[in-house]
Amino acid sequence: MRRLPIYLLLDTSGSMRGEPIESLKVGLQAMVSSLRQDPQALESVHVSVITFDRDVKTLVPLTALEEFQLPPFDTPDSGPTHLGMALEALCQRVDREIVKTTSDVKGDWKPMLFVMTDGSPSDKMKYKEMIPEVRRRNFAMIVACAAGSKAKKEELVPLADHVVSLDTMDSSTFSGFFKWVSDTVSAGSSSQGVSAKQPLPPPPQEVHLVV
Amino acid sequence: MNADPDRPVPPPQDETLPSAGAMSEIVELELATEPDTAMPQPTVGRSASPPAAPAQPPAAAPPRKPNPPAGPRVAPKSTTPQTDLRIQLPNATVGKPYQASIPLTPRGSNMPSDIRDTDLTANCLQIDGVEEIGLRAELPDGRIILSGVPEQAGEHRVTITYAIKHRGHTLSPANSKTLTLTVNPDPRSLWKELEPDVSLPYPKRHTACERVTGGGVLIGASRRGRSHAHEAKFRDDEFRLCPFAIDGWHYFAVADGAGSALYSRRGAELACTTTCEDIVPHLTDCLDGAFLKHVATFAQTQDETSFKHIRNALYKSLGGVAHAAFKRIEQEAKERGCPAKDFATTLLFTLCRRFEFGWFVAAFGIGDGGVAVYRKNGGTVAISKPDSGEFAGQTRFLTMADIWANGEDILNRIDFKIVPDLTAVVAMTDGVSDPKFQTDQNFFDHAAWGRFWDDLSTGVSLNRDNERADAELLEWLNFWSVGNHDDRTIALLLP
Repeated sequence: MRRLPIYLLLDTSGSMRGEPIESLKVGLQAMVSSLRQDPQALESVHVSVITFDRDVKTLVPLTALEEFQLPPFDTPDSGPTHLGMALEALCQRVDREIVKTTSDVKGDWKPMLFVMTDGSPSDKMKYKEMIPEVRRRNFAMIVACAAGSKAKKEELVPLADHVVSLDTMDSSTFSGFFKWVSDTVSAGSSSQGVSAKQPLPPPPQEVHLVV
Repeated sequence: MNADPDRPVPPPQDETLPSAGAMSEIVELELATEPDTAMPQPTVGRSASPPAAPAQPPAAAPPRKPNPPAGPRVAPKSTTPQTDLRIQLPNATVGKPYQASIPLTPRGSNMPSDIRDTDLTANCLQIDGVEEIGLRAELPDGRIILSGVPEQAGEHRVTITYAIKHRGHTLSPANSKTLTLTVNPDPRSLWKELEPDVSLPYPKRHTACERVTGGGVLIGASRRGRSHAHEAKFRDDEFRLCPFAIDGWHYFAVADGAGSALYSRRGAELACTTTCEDIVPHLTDCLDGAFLKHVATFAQTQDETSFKHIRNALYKSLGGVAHAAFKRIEQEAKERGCPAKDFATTLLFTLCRRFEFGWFVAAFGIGDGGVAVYRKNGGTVAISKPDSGEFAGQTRFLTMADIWANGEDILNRIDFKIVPDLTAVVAMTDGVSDPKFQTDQNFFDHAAWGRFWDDLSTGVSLNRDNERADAELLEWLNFWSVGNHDDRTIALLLP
């Protein structure tokens, strides 16, 4: 039984404090609940949540959807946004967690990556260094979300296959975004094994497709 | 305090956490009201009011909330000693037996230094909300044990009342906490069975089964997979069993339309029907009496000349009809005005004949799935080499033009075996081989085939005279296998 690994990289820097981080949590929970209604997702989807601000934390290692629980998390008062370090940690986790197919082991489907940030990476050199490393990890799809007015969409373009932007970080926008992530993952879990690049489901009005 | 409005107001001097030595300043634990269960230390104040508004003990100088400093508003951190409970209820699934022993982990914050978390214990006194889910609770010291079989999916609220003790003395007698117990729906209940749009071309029934007698008995069955049913799509698989007027020969084919190809269900159908029709003339041509003699000779001698004759005849016949199927699909695609790859399909077919000395079984294969000769007493042999790509899920299709470019490649797709006896010749699409064999290696393994045959026998009486064998086969195809929800097709010959 093959797993579909989903990695969520979420910005928890100080600027997310308050309504944004609370809306993010609500959106995440809604995404998980929605995926749990999809029989194909329930069988294969495994989710990992990695947060980044000054530090990078693996909030949840790759866990089966059935068992997945979102622990409490918060933002520091202020501080840098170490997206580069987060990508580095992601690569380490992927190398450790993803199972490859061999002649007698059915490995994972290609993983999917969703990155959400409301700003710009503070560790720019590391970020640039890590982009090719991430792309080398064989993700079926990389989506980067620039949330809010201060997020720099252009910086995300080299990293992702698709860049989306959110105008605000209120709860309906985040819910819309995460519902769309859930639809994308569902489509991924039902088209397992089809070699063609899967098309994105149509985004809701709060989510603007940049690339 | 300083009245100058231009200078920022410094926080009051005594707004600090009580230091280790200043025990007399410690207050505001949410405490028992009974004096005899209070902490032994004399200076601890008491509060009978709700946690939100702790009473001020008269003697000590309580830490006051500071005036908000000028500048960005940041909520001041509370310095009130508090306890909390860490507890997590693992998720459950409807219909799946649930058994969890959940520790209660008390934590203190802003506690005096002689109260360590490791010295705190918690007991659950009451738990509400689990019976409605279908679970029972036991409440031994320090944990909650839940067991049972949940019946209702959803995020259920569970409320517990608990007490926290420090070294046996109650610190806080009755707190409550609301938790969530997530019960996942039963995956089986989530699968929908939807009808495809009636306006779509090439409609196909969701199931098919057939039995053909005469010489050996052929049975076949095909069933739309749960994935396609859930997505309101047609069955893409197909099979054909061909009875021949020409005595002795048996033919059957299975095909699996590519998931991403719009009309692959039609491609699979054309592949099966075309090969079945077009093989007939070959039976009196390159597969005639002379051919049969070569087979008989080869069975005895395994000589090179006979081998070459057989191989060439098979190339012409099996290769020829497969190519004809490809051409037929191309023609259909042209008529519809779309590329041939919209009809992409795998194709496996086999031609078998009984001789005095045993059975001759030849097969042609493009794509995944497989054909094998099963022999109960040993010597099971697979006679198709499944095409596998760099990662599973990628395979070759009949409609790929590059397959037809090279005679050598086509020849490699054809194989034959002569066996003294057989229990069955079996062809299946990957909808069956994936759940039942998992890997290519297992498909070549006699022991794995033994297990498969036993499995099949639980649902189907596999003897020639069973008139219901095909219906039983179709029913057997409904088996549940986590992660395997593709269309399923199997066809076999019983000698």
